[in-house]
This record gives sequence, C-alpha cells and structure tokens, in this order.
Amino acid sequence: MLPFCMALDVRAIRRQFPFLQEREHPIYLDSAASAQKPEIVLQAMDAFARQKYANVHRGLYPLSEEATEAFERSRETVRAFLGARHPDEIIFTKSTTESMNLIARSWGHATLKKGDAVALTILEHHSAIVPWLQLKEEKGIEIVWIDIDDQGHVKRDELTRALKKGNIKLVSVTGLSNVLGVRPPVKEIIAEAHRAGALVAIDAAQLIGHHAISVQKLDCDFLAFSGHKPYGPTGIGVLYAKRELLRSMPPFLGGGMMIREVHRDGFTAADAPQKFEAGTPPIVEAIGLKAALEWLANIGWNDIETHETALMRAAYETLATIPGLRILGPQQPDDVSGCVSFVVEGIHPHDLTDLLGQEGFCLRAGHHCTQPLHERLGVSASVRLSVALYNTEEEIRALGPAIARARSILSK
Amino acid sequence: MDLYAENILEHHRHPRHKSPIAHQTIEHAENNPSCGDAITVELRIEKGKIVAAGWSGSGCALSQAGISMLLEKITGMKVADAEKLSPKDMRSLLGVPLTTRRLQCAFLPLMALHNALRKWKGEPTETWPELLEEDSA
Repeated sequence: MLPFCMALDVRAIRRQFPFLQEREHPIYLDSAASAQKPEIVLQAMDAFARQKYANVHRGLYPLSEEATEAFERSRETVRAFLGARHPDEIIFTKSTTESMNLIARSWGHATLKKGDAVALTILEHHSAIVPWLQLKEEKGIEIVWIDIDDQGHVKRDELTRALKKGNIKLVSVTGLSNVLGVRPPVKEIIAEAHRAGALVAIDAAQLIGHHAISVQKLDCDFLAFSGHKPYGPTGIGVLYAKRELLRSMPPFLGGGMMIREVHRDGFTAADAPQKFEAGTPPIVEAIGLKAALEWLANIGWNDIETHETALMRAAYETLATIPGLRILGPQQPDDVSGCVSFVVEGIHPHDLTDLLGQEGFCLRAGHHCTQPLHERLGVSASVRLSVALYNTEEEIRALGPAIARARSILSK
Repeated sequence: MDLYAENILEHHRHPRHKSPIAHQTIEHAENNPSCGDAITVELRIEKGKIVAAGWSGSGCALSQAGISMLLEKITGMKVADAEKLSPKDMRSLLGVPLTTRRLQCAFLPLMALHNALRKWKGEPTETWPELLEEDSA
C-alpha cells in the first residue's frame, strides 16, 4: 500500500474476482443483494476447511485450539472494523435478519411492555420491521413510523415530535437505504434518541461495504450486518451491542455453547458473546468474513468512496438518457451511495430486468424487501441498480442502450 | 426475446376483459408474492357456467397477458371445466418458454381463477406449493 493517495485501480480489483475472470460473465449490478467474493476470501475459507478445520470452543487438542483461535481472531477483526471497544460486544449470527430478530426477541421481549413504542423509518427493510410487528401482535407494543421527504431523507422533525411523547424505547434506522441509497444522519439521530431515553439499532447491511463505521463514535446501542454484502460469505452475520445491554439481555437461541450449567430442572447462561451463540457457529464463514473485512480495510475508504461516487454519477447520467424513467428518492448522485432505484413509465420492473438479464445485465426488480417504502413511494415495484468496487463506469453506461432496447420491445 | 413473443405483447398492449362486469357472482384478488403483480378477477356464474369474466390489476407483461388470455378462454366455459385448468394448460395458452423465476408471474392468473372458483364454492384457497406441484406432475 503506497503512502500517498492513489486512485483505485479498478482493473487490479477486478483481477481479484474469479467471477470476473470468466471470458463471458454478466455485468453484475446487484451487489446490494449480495456481492461477489474475491479470491483471497475464497482461498482463506478453502484452506481452513481443508487443513485447519475442527469445531471451536469444544476440544482441548491442538487442532481445536488453533481453530478456536482463528475463529476468535475473526471476532477481533470485526471488532476493529467496527471500532467497537470489546470483542465480547461482537456476536456472530447467521445474517443481518437473524441479528435484528435477536434484538427483538431478546432485548425487545424482555424489556418492552404494552404501550411501549418502537420507532421505525419508512426506509426500513422487512428484517427491521417484521420482528417488531410480531412483538406488536404478541405484546401490544406500538410501532411509530417516521416518514421521509421526497428526496428520501428522514423527517427529523417527525422523529423529534415522536420522541417527545416519551414512550419510544428504541429507534431502528438503516445506516444506508437498500433502495434509495440515502444515508440517514445516524450520529445525530442517536444523540437525539438518547436524550429522549430511547436506544438505537442500526441496520448496517448496506452501509458496511460502502463507508467507515465507528460504533463508539456513533454511540449506537445495536448494529447489525451480514457477511455476504461486504464481499464475504453467506451464512454469517454480526450483531454489535453494548456490553451493558448484552449483560442484561436474556439468551436468544438455547442449546450448546450458550450455557454455563444445564440440569434437569434448569440452566444458567454463559456470558456474552457465547450467551448469544448457541450451537456450532459458522466457523469457515467467520474465516471468510475476516479475510473480506481485512481486504476492504486494506483498500481504504477514501479510494472506495471516490470510485463509488464516480459510479453513481455514471448511473444517474445513464438513467437520465431514458425517456419516461424516474429515479426514486434523491435526484443528485452525490446524495446517494451504493444503489439507485427507478421506475420506467408503462414498463413493469419484472419485464425490464428479464430483458436486461437476457442481455447479460444483472439488476434487481421488485420491492427489495421494503413494501412499506414502496407503498410510501406510490409504486408497486422498482428496478434497482447497485454498485460495488469491481464495477466500472463502462459497465454502467452500457446499460443505457440496453434499457432503450427493452423499452422499445415493451412499450405499448 | 422469446418470452416476449408477439402474442404476449399483443395481449399486454391490448388486454381483453380488462373491465368490471355487471352482476358479478364472485370476485377474488391475488398478488404475486415475489412482487408487484396484482390481479382481481370477477366472474358471473349462471347455472354452472361462467357467462362473464373481467379483471383489473397491474403488473408485468406476462401476468397481464396471461389473465387476458385466460379470461378469453374461460368465458362461456362450465365451472367444472374451468376448475380443471392446470399449469400445463396455462403454459400452452401462453406458448412461450418460462424460466423458474417467472413461474409465479405466469401462473398468477390461474391462481386467481382457481381461488375465485374455490371461494365461490366455499373451499380453502390453493397455495403456491400445491399449484407448482401440479406443474411438475
């Protein structure tokens, strides 16, 4: 890594992805759904599975000890990546969705009672919504919705008014919208929520791969992300939570590892993080996640952000050439990261992405697990273009003629 | 390109039966679980026969063309015959190759029709796994 600032060498990045080494590969613009993996991640997982594999925290023989150390080094990498204070504040789960469910089923279930409220922004992903709706059905908690303006920005005044009522115990907000690409000002939101006596959970599934995070600087109470978005494997996620919170929270899943003692008539739980890691964890995946986060950290956020800003500008410029195409949310590319979603008059997203798919472009169509957001935007479905480090401006510009061709086939 | 054959595009551009009907006997709405396709079917049934059919909704070309073609086919049909229409019949009607991802778009019209008739008879609605199982049979 050279000491002076160098622009990202995209070709060098692309060479590291086996997916892009095939002579004919699709143009992958769906990294918000899941990102492709670099060789270094695949090799780390493969090498571990072949030669270093054993269960963790269970054996005393050298192989198991080494596997355990490797697994715990992954936890330490996540801690450092998030800027968390203690490794026991990092819990490995299956995914962001499982992490969000853990918050609701452990903290939520133990802490909230009828009449308490949880505030959700209308941007939220179903994984940040449904667990609270389930708790509402079960316990009668209230859900307070915070709206966005036409540019997709969270209405802060609405949040302020809602917090004044005094019954909001948690605010759940996305760090980066998986549809509109907007970045709510979470630091300020957290400060305000704390002043009003509410905790804050951040859905960082999209944010994690695009911008630096420091959980201590943000002072968030919970933060969740998945391994497969920042170029790591599926099957692993992370929940960060403050030590004091984890201490007071009851276990989530029950089984091996999360116990101290089990008797016929009862059990005692282990301390965090094990308390929340029942069963054999995703060991190989943790090794992969470590490799992915180290790879990302090594590239450096300045270069990542500069490249991705250029990609978003290319995206906005390309989409502006299509008549009848409306970009949802922010109308300026610099207000957006990671993805942009749009609708085309008279053309259903399914049909558009099907035709684009046939031409080799991978974009996603649908509601992207945000039905309330789509209802708010007044559309039943949208097309989403999302970017990653391995994308080029050329790939994005090639989309313009392809959308134009699809449009001419489908228009009435 | 094959999916968007002329017959599909023709029905998509000029859908048939896309209007309410007078004196409907039964109405049923069905949404595509993956996203954004919605169909409401209205039927007028007299003496065991579907004498009129109409639909409303929005969605992808495949689902919209599908319901347009399906209602064209079942108008005048006996309920007993309409009930028996299978995913294979739907495939023949559409006449285009279907990928796994588009099966729910392609079969949504059939689901809407089946469930409108089941609702009319007071029977439980059909689920996607049941319908798709019929397709692989």
